[in-house]
Amino acid sequence: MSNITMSRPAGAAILRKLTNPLYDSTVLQGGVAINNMQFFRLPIGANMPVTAVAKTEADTNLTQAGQMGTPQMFDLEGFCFEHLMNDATSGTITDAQNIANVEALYGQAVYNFFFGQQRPWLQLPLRQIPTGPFLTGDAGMGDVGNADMCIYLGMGKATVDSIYNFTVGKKAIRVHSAEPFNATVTYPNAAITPTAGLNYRMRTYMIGSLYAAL
Amino acid sequence: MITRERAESRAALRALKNPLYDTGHILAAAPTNRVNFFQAPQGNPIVAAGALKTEADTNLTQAGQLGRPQEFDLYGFQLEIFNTNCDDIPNTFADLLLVYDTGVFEFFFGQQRPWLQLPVEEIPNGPAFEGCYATADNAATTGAAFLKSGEGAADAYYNFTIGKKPIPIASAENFSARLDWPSGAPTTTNLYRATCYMKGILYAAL
Repeated sequence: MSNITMSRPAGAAILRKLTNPLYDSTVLQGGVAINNMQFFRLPIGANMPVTAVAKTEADTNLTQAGQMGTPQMFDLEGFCFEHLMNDATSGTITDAQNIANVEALYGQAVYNFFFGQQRPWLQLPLRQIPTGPFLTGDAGMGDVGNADMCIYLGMGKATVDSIYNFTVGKKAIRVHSAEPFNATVTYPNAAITPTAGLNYRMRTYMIGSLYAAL
Repeated sequence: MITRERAESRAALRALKNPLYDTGHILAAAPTNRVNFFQAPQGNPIVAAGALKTEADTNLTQAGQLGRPQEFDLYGFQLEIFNTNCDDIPNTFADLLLVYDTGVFEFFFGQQRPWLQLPVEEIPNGPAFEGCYATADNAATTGAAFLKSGEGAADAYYNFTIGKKPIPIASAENFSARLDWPSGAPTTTNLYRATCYMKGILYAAL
């Protein structure tokens, strides 16, 4: 019988602390009923839902599904959530349709954040999650005199400090390299169906500090 | 032989920044002068013979209490009157003036004596729609009337703490809130979803 030994501990990497959120996007397809959206499960290179185009860093900064991967770590402070319409200027959708869509998107939606798979660590109406900084200003605020769509119709003031603060006692929550996490938006009361022909890009941010390899 | 009952074992709890919330309806067709919160948990109808509540409506699983082993540190309140027909601008303005003009918000521990009683517009909405069309252009009839109390800010809530100390709520402690219109029910044209948030820290089972 051979000798039994303990495995050697993994070497501790040297990490750089960066104020950098984790983010992920999905596409909400117009004309199709949907009762949930999932985030942080499809990393860079995986196909974006609906469009089936490979994700890039414009869509997410996760390189692994549902975790950061060794040696990265993250100190989680809070969340933001935003929707971006893909038809801001063509005017093929009416203002009233867009407003109705936005009302449906947020009206009875639930935002969930999980470590692991089963038990939500955060579960509350999506309307509690602010949009954060976004396009504002003259064009950003639209022009009701013509058919241009409004750009910003989001949750809360579009300011950089507008986040859902998830800390308890101002202490961020440490997310380790191989710790699985994900977020979902669900519609438990009834599925929603945005206007046909219009897709929305939905994006959520985990706000905090990223510890990345040198 | 007389013995003492055994002390209940203590659960290990996780502190989560998660509000308690509950939703009621301000009905258009059959107005009432009261909307109760935190008395009908998930699985109960949101109004008489209405749809059953889910986590989109409330995160309470017991009527009027947290249930063991959960605990809560209460910091304050938000109240959201969500417009379900937001592009009906003229009626929304009239409706929400009615709702806010004579409404009273009350919060109770137990049943009888309010621990908080004040005009409803004193309770901020918290994060709410802002930006283009969040406030309507009535003349052009384009836009939406997402009216709210206060600015749409994440940190806008009615601070209920004294000396920055939250109020602890034990597992089996009874609490409730309500919207009251003591001088008469607001006869609104549209249906509104009223959601009350108790802002604070939820101590949940692992």
